[in-house]
Amino acid sequence: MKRLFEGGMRNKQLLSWVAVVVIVGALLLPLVISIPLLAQEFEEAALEQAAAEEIVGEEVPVQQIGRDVHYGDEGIVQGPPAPVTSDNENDYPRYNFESRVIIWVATQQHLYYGSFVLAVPIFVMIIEFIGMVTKDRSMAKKYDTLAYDFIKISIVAYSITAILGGVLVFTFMILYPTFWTYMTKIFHPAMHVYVLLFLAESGTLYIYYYGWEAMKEGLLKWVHLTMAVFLNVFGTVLMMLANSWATFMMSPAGVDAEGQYLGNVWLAVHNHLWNPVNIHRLLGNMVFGGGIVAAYAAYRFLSAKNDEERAHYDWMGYVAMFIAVAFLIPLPFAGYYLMREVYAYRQQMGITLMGGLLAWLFIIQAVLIGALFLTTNYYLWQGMERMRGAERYQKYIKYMTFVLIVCFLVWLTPHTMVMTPTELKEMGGQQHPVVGNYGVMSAKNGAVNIIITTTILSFLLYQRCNKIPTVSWARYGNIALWMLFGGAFVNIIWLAIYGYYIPANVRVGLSVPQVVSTLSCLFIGTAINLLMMRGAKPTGPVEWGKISVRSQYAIFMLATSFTWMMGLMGYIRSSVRLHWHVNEVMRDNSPWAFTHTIGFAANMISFNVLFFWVTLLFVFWLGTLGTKKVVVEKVRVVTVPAPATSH
Amino acid sequence: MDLLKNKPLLFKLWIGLLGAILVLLALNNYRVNFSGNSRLLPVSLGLFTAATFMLGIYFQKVRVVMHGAAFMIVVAAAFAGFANWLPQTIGEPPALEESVEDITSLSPQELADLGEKLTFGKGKCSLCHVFGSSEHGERAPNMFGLAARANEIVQLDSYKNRDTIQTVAYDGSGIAENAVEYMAESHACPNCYVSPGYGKRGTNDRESPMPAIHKPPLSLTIDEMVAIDTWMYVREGLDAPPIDDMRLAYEKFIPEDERPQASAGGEEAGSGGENPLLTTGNEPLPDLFEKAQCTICHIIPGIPGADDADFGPELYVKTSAPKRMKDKGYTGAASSVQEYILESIMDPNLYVVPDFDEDLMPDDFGTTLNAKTLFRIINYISQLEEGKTPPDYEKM
Amino acid sequence: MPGFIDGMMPIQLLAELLLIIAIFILGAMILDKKMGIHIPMLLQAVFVFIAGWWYYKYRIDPPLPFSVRAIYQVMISVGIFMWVSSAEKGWIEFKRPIIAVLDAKTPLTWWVRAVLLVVLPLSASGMTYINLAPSLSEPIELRTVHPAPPAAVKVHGKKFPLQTSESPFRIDENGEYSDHVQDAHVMDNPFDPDGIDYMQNVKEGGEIFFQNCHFCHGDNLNGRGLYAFAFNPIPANFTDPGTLAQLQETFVFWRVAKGGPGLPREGFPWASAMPPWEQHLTTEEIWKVILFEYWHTKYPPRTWGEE
Repeated sequence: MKRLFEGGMRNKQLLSWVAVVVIVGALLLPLVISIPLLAQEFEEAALEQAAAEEIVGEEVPVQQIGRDVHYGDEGIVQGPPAPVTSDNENDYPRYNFESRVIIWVATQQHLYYGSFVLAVPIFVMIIEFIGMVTKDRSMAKKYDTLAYDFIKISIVAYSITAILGGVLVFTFMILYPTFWTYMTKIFHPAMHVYVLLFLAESGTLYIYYYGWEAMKEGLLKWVHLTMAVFLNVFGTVLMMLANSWATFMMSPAGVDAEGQYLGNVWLAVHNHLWNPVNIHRLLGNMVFGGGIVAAYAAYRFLSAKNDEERAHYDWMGYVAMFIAVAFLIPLPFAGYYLMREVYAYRQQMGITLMGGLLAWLFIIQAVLIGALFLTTNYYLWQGMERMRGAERYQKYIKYMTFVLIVCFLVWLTPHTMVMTPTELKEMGGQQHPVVGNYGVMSAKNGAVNIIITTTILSFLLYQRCNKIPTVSWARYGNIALWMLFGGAFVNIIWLAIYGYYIPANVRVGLSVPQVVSTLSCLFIGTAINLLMMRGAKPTGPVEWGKISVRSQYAIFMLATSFTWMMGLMGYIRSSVRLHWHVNEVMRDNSPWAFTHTIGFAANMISFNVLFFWVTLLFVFWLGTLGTKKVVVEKVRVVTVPAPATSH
Repeated sequence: MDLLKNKPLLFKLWIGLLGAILVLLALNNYRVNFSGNSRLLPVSLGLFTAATFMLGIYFQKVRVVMHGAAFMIVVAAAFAGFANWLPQTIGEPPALEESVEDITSLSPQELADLGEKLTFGKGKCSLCHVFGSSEHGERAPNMFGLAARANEIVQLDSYKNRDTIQTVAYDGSGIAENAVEYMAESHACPNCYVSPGYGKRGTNDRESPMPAIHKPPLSLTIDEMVAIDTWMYVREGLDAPPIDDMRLAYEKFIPEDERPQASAGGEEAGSGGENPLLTTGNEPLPDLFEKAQCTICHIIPGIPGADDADFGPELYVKTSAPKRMKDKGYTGAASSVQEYILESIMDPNLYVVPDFDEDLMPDDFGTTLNAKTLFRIINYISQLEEGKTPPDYEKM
Repeated sequence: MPGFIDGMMPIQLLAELLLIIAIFILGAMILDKKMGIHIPMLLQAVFVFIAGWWYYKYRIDPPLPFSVRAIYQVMISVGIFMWVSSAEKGWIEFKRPIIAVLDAKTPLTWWVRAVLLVVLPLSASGMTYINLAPSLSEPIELRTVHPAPPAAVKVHGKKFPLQTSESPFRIDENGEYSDHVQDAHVMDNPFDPDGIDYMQNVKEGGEIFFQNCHFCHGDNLNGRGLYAFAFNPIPANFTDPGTLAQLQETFVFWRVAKGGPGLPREGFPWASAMPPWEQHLTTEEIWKVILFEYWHTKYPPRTWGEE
């Protein structure tokens, strides 16, 4: 801050601030102009109507008033009713292929890239900020390089996102013209704002990225960070606008029961499921973005030529993994909120999801969740390798593996078993008397809570791997931790057994104390552990880069699972509309109004996941081609505190 | 040639080609076996993985990309494989609902049956409501005993002095005074009175989670709602009130411009438009002739109820057809009785029997009767001979 | 070896697994630390794999279907992998013999490799052949055991909507339908002449059961009657929590009245030899026999509460 008062600098800084304000202002100008225009639109329509009446006299029909399907407000009808389509080439032009599948691929790819480029700037901003406030200069430099590395990956993805967006729009116009026309008649003001915001975001992103070197000192750095804030605001609003179209299709508002637009685009945007989806997507994007950056780091780690590179990318992968897992934890709660709102909007929709046609998809989600937890544990165990002193804890791994696997066996035991008639005969019934008991909810709740608790335990052990507590109450702390986890295990298992002896509607309530056990392990356990590690005697530094190749494949596994899960949940969200384009307003009368089998859906999801990753790996590879051989600063293997404990 | 001397390059070229062939084979196998329940799909997986690993080993520069891709293919395929292993069902979009034409012709039991079908079908009532005496409605009140209970509800103070977000169905509609009106009001205006404890969460029972069922998307017509109400009575062994009373009750609570028309449901669902077929082809012959509209104009010997029409000739075709085909006014090309009948149905004006009007018989039976119907009609008519007993239609 | 203890089976299974793994770890430790015999990691892993396979194949009775064992075995393999590769030291030890065979620097490893090079492709092709060869065994049936019932069923000219109908005999002392009357009288003596109506009806239902049903469904209602094994699949076992216990009483009424021929499309293939009992029993008798079946098995009929 001293520099602020140096005369020479001051003018330059002032100039740069002005420049930023002018640039951002210029970018926002079209937006600012367009907002009053939107407001006018409603009045204009009314005026036009009035004018028309004056000219033609009585012949003009009386203004039609419609009632909003969701909000119940009255408004002047300003659009045609939702078109009733039929299965023909006008409403549904087609190639010799299922149009819905084409849209599916286009949307999913756009979403994958879109989520990624929206998420990365958020943590770039955070990491840049951490770098700026970190006092340790070498650490600050490290954080700054990390942030720059992150944004570098997203810049190529950004243009791909734009291209895919174009592809998506054209696909809609070509394959679903009637539907698309209807949507644009309602959302055209929002769509214009969207385009302008996109321009603004592109501008900001390019200045932000290319100005990184030029704006790295003093006040300019803060200006640079401000750009990151703008960038993220634009990005988030963009995403929310796009979300509104998707959620309008699920829970329409701003139109009357016939689908006639009532002139207030805000109501159409702010429909019932908009905000729940916004929150869920924002968190989901962070997890997804973290997963991709971690995979990038893993890729660079695996193709690294020297120890320095390996150390850097090991650390980068760890940070990204940490971000991903940290945002993964609140994600189920956001999902719960979304689901609750779905039930509040239409119970029928909720029942279709959880108990009806789409319920099997949640079984697949269960497998994915299990895979995520196993992999997270595995990555943490592998991470112990880079710390001296970890041998003390490594011997517990086999027990934890055993617990995890046994729980996973219970978690995966199917309720309905697939078997040959001979096997059925041998078993003497569809239900197995021993293993069949694991097929029910009570056992599964217990299993998944133990899986999570064990993961927390792995994390605590990881935290204290290279430290020996020196606080006077260390002994009692350890006892407390033992009791905490032991108590949680006993409580969860006991409730799982007890669940068999009580009716189903009471059993639902048991999951609350189970989750409370799990969460108290997370919070209390971490807190005790952190306190105990204060001033602990280190047994050695974290040797970044000394991690196995397997751990990096674990990261690939996590990233692939995240991507798959996103594809799956997105499919569930979209297909819950069943045979409606716009729920209860515009019916899908194309030949593809049916809901596919889960097998087909899973094949499509896998295709999308692989298509995305293959193109992305290609992008990564391009990235390594382009990098000049920078002489890597000869840093010794620096002692970096594991970020898990430092922030 | 330099290329041929450069052995390592040649080797790499060879490996690259091999990899490409493997990938192409895998793609082709996938394409061929994609639809259908083939167990050969995993072969593609094996080929993909082998190709990527092989390329990864010999092309060091793309090693990580190749191994990473191979790994991801295995992971994604494992998830997809699991999903394919689960039971598979396709969710079909709901078919068009038949709308009621004239409910006054139905007996109370028939009307109740219709109402029951609507309750569990188009009306989707059973998603929230329960109907058994001992069941507890989690989402909506139990409908058991409603017919009796409704009379008490309308007497309640809490009913008369309601405090909901919408206290009357529309201005001037008033509130219900008896059970029939109560049911109508509840269907047309669920917010008018909310059963204690069943309001939308957080609204303190001032707002109902139930949609107005005469509006989209349910769009039940008044007659359909009458059928449902009838079922409410009949299923509990009570006598249903007269249809007209129930209709009046609904008209009290649904303003004229909101009343859905009987055809509305069909139009809205309208995929592919109306079914133009007059028959299914499976009806007993007398019904078939009636539905196919033959009996309006023709006397068909041997068919009950087809003996007093005189717009068209009596159908002793086995006798008349050979003569007519030889007539000089005949412009068709039939060479047998059967062909003649078919021709006459498809294109009636090819030959018009003297003393009957031209252009009287519709010429669209070719599109409104299906093959089975035509076959059965022709089969029967072609055996009718003047002066002989008609064949037994029950055997045909 | 003692069998599974009724009522404790799921927990017993977990406890046994725990015991096996404890013995295994302890044994390995004692051998290693006390006796100086170190068992190679690869051998340990193979042992765990085989032990898991053995346990699920032979210990659990009745035998598990292959699909479930496949899931379990995949999970066990994943677990073994996580365990051996969790620390670098163990992983290197685990890999050493494998790499030694691949390198084939000694005559022994050379021979092992040579044999493997012949055996592995052969067994792969053998497996492929077995997998793809047309087989004479019955195909796997994803048979829906409890297909979706119709909305209503007509028996003896009367219509019973399955959603709303109730057993006329499940009544308490006041003559009211009650979900709890069975629980209250489950230990009563059906032959007590002073028993309430409900118990009288249970007794009559029992008489009907033993005159008509027990030949197939067994005198313990466990689906192992005199003629049971003439059928494939064998008749429903009512003591199994997957049958009566998870069905509504009206569902059972429908299945008894209409039998195998009355199964809907979803029930394909209609592998049921159950006769349509409406041709032999009156409506009352059907309700009574169902009443008896529930009473005897002590399961309450399912009601549509929250899942």
